[in-house]
Order: sequence, then structure tokens, then C-alpha cells
Amino acid sequence: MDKGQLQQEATELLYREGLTLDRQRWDDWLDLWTDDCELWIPAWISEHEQITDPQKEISLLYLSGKNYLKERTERVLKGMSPASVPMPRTCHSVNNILIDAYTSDSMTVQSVFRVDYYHHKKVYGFFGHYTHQLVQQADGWKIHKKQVTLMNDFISEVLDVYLI
Amino acid sequence: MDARVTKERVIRDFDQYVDERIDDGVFRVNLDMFRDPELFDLEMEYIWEKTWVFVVHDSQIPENNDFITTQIGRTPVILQRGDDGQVRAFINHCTHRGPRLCKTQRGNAARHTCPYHGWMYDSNGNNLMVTDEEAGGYSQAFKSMSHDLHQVARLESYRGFYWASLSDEVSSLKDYLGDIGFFLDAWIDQSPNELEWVKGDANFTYDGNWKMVFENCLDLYHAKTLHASFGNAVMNRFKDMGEDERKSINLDDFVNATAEVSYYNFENGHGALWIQNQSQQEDRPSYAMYKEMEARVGAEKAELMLSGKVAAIFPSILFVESATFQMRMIRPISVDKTEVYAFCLAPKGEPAEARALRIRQYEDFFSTSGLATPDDTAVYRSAQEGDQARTLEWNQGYHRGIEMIQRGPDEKAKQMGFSPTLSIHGSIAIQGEAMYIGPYREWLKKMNAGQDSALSKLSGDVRG
Repeated sequence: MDKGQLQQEATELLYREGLTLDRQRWDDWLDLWTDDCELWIPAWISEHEQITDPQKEISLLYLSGKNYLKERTERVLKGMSPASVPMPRTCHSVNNILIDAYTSDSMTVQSVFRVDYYHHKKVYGFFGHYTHQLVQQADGWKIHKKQVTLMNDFISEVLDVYLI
Repeated sequence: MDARVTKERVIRDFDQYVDERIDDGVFRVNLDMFRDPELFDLEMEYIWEKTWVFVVHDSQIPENNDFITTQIGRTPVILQRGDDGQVRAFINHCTHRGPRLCKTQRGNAARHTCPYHGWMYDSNGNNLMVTDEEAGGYSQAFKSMSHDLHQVARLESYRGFYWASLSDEVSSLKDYLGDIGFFLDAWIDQSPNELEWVKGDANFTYDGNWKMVFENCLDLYHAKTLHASFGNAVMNRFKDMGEDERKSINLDDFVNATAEVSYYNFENGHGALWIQNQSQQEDRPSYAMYKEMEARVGAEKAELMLSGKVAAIFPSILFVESATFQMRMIRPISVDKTEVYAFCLAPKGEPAEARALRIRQYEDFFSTSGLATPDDTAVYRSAQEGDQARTLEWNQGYHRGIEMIQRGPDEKAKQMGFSPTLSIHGSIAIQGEAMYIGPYREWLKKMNAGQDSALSKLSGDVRG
């Protein structure tokens, strides 16, 4: 596969991730991930320094394994969590998509994102950088790891998988 | 400017806000305490700027010249370890024209130079330079002024935990904490080598009054309902994965089990709770060091050290341990906006596996990306909105357990040797929420004392 084609595959997967979250198609979103996936938002230590080891330092979010992602989508679906009732309306934008490194069946993809969301009659937003590690499986490209550098880390009430 | 107008004050009858009739089974506070912006300003002046406010733990500024910035009431503050190793508290305000000298939340700086006109200070607060002073035509009066940074009136440490006060009319920190120090010791003594800050900021705001988060941590009644979604996730982990590798507290077990609980109020507005005979003790990160703790401090104290417990130190800091331990600094911004600076402290020398478990449990329950805290913040907002009902004056939320209040210590406190002003002891099924009497008594005391002092100052000024 040449780099142009990989770029297209990566772009489509990242767009699809945003789309499934925004449309609340939770099962479709979960299908984009490998079973042994990892979603990590390192916490900040100072203005320009983040933690580097989620086993030794505090993360804003560290979920390892698809079950922990599913627990988030079920939490929304069950409607027992006031943090997501009503669900914020979200809009994911992903840009500046660049492939950093690749083999025939894996690639590291850099991008920037902005998530605008509407909650309690106000517009809120999160923005930052994504680093995705994608792997090719029998049924297509999947997200193996997603690392999020969240720029605005003083959280207003809630941070969850559908807001980043 | 007309001094009589700027100094004029509306005299408030604060007694009307706290309705304490324990013998009649009634305790309630007026909803204006959550929604009146003028009352909020008076709280800043009479409580937050007149008492001890928690500011930093030793391990957050370990090196010489390390600093951290915070707020006491409305006042921006720097906590800095000087080049002599001593921690000092300064007002974050250039003596010359007022810009904040430290603009980041933390850092390391041997010098602070004001970007406006270049005045410079060292890390001990001494003024090093008034820019171009010689050619400045300064008066003798100016030259005789100290140009050093303004120190915060009082700064004292309790075993590495620093509190500061903008007013020097406070008792010693030790007297202010009193017997709640017993609870603080139960965290501090978890390691023979003290506690250390686990790096990583996970701070948050909510659209509600500051007293909501203070109340929340002394309320076990909400756990089963508000955190049902968390409980559900924990149950599903057993179903889907065979076990919960994060070993979080099982809330069903939490409410139905044979556990007991003691609730306490202490002098100066502090509240505490202590869950006893709780299951899942072996799932706590501190369990890894339990044998060592028991040998060092004895079985009774070691049990308190391992247990779920809360110490709410009025008005500014919450020590909260569910499975694991979190500190929450409260920073009121306005009557309906609060910042919470949360951080993780852990025993130094904890085994790596226990530390990793501690961190996962911390994020799982406490973080604003976790499965519990976002439901708390959502409901604070909702309560703030509901409490706008101006025809209503009172809620009924402080009565659960009120019949069980005893004056003085319960048996547990007697055994351990500390002296609360009020206690409740019983089955965990009480899910008590009656122990706000101490904090609101202190609220009333500080508001009355603040007003009396402001009024006597005013009449003194008029006479003078």
C-alpha cells in the first residue's frame, strides 16, 4: 500500500470515529477499536509538560481494553448517569492529518481536533492533538491506541470519551 | 470619594440562616446561603479571608525555588520554597503596580521580575531592584518603605500540610485543626517515609456554590442513587471480565454489608466519617503495606488507616478516601461557580503494583473523567438551579441520622482517644447526612464575628 492510500485510509477512520460519536452510534464506534485498545489522555504537570507513565502518574483518562470503552457507552445508554442526561450534542472536527510512521499493517497518525458541544444552553469545547496508532485487521483498519493531548485541561464538570 | 458611603454596610442577622434545634429534631440552613451573591462576598470577607485555608503539601514544592500559585478567598497567593529551603506564602502581586508575578500554576524560579516596570524579587520575597531607582527622584518616604513582597499573615504546617491565613487573628494551626488531626495522622502515618504527591493535574469547575462539594463528601446517602451508574459498571466488570481489575468499591456491598460507620463533628467546623468493618479491605492499595503499618502503629490505628474515611476541614480542604485517597482544595469563584483542585498523595516507597492500582482507582472514581465525580458535579449544577426557587427558603436535607446524634465521642472515638463535639455511630445503612451542624455552626460563628469586627472598626473610624 502506498502512503497516499494509507493517508486516505487513516483519514477515513478518523472521520468515521468522529461521526459515530456525534451520531451516537456507539456499537459502530466500538467496532473501530481493537480488543486490546488503549485510550489515554495524559494529565499536565506544568504549562508545557505532561506525565509520561500512566502506571506512575495521574492521567486525565486511561482506559485499557475495549471493555472499558464499552462501559462508557453503556453508561450513556442506560441513562442512569446525570452527567450524560441529557447527552450533550457534540461535533467532532479532525484536521492536519499526517502519517508519522507506517508498515504494511500499522501506522502512527498525527492530527488536531476540536470538539464543540452544547450542554445546559451553553457551547463548550475541547481541543488538542490526537496520536492514533492504527493496525490492519481482517475487517479493516482499527484503532489500537489513541493518545490525546488535551489543551484545555481545567475541566468543566465532565470529560468523557464522547467529548474528545 | 465619600467614605461614609463606601464604608456603609447592611447589617445582616446571620442567625436567621441557620436553624439549629437538635432537641426538636430540626436542623436546616437557608437557601440564600447558596444563591445570594452579597452573602457570598461576605463569606469571602468573614470566613475565607479570616481563617486558615489549605494551600500546599510539602511534596508539591520539593526543591528550593519551587513555587505553586493558589488563591485564598479572592487573594492570589504564591507558595514558594526559598533558596534557604523554607516555605513562604506571598501575595501574588507586584508591590509597585500589582501584576501577578507568577503567572503559571507551578514552576521553579530564583527571581521574580515584574514584566510591567521590571521590579525584581528573590525567592524569599526580598526586593532586589527598583528599576532605575537612582535617577527616579524618589522621596525619602518612598525609600523608607519596604518594597519586599507582601507576606501572607500566617503560614503553618501540620506534618507537611500547609495552611495559610490572610488574617493574623487566628489561633495556632494545631489548635484550629484540633482532634481532626487524628484523621490526618491516619493518612500521613500510612508510610514510615511520609506521603508524596503523585504528579498530574486533574482539576475541575462546577456551576454551583462551594458548600455543595463540602457537604457532598460527608454524605453517604447519595452513594447508592447518584452513583448507581458507577455501581453498575463495577458489577458488569465481574460479568464481562470475570473480575474488576481496578478493584473498585462495590456499592451494593457497601450499603448492604455489615459495615458500621461513625460520623463526627469537631471544633472549628470540621467533619469526619469513618467506615468500619468494611469488606474488600484487601483491595485497597494501602493493604500492601498493612502488615508493616500494624506492626508500627498497632491494630486499632492501622484499621483506621486502611478504612474508607473522610476529613472535611472547614472551609477549604477535603481529605476523601473511598478505595483510594484524594485531596480536594475548594476555591470559591462566585456564588454559583467553584473550582476544585484535586490531587493524589500516596505513601512514599509504596510497591509499584499498589501504586498503579491506586492511580487506576483514583481515576475510576474521583476524576472528572471517572465514573462518579461527573455525576456529583452534574447534580451540584442541578441543585444550584433548583435552589433558585425564591419562594422556597429551606431544604430538608440535613435530617437523616439526626435522632442518633450524641453529644461528645462515641465508643470508637473513646477507644482511639479523640474528642468530637458530636458523634453518630451505627450501621452503614444509616447513610447519614446530619453532620453538617458543626460546619454550619462555624459558618455562623465566623459570619457573626466578621460582621462584629467590621462594624466595630467602622464605628472606631467614625469616632477617630
